[in-house]
Amino acid sequence: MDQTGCCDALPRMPRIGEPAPSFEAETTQGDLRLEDYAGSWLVLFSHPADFTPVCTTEFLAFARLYPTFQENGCELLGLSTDSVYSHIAWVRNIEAVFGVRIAFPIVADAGREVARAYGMIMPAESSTEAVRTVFVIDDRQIVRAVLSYPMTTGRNVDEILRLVQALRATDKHGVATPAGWLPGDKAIVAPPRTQEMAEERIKAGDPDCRDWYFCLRTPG
Amino acid sequence: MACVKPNGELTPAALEVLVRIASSATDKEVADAVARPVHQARAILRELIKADMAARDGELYRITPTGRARIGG
Repeated sequence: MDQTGCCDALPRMPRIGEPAPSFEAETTQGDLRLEDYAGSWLVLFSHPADFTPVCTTEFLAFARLYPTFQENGCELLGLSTDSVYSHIAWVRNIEAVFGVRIAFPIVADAGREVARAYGMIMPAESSTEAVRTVFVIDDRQIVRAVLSYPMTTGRNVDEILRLVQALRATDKHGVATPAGWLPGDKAIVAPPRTQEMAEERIKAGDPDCRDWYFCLRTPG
Repeated sequence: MACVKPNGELTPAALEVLVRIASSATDKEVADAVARPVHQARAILRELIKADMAARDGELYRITPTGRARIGG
């Protein structure tokens, strides 16, 4: 037994660039596998527990932006270690109290198989509940971004959407995106790799190049 | 199974999918026809296969005699 009281060694969290761990899990919309999402982007996000206020605000925010995620070729999949009956009761309560329908599925990971595979259990925070993690998984089922938040702090879902949009712009246009980038903004062109190319850039006098290594352009 | 009710009846979504594959279709075509995300169509098709109401030939899904009997076709 380790210092946290947790008896089992926990797998490490999947890292950016690695294949997302496969799973098959019971959800509020039936059994789903990671492979069911192949060809689509996926935001897999965990929350500590149903019927808690911070998680409820997050679900309201995810539900509000779900159509926009879908317009961006991205699906949402929630997860906690609660039972499917708890999930059903909670989404019904959210609809009754807040008038918001939760249209995306939620994994009932009572056995913690998925939470362990994704390193969502952080024993120093809780040995039984998943913390607030977010995995952005691309259409080839590769992990492209990972976020972790503590129990007490709700996530910014607009930022998660922006992250998906930025990653998709990178894939589509071969650009990087600057701080706070939003669709429609100029993106960063890869810096030159040789002195000669750097000098060419300077000579070209492009007003969107502030210096040889810092050039912007509109993607597309 | 999520698309088969405890009394053995199919859910409305499963019935829609079964009707669509009466003439064979890919998972994306099924999803478009029933206006649901592809992951949901794939999950329902998998359960229909388990229930012997659908079968898969490569990319195409088709209804089986058991499935056809269920929709009365």
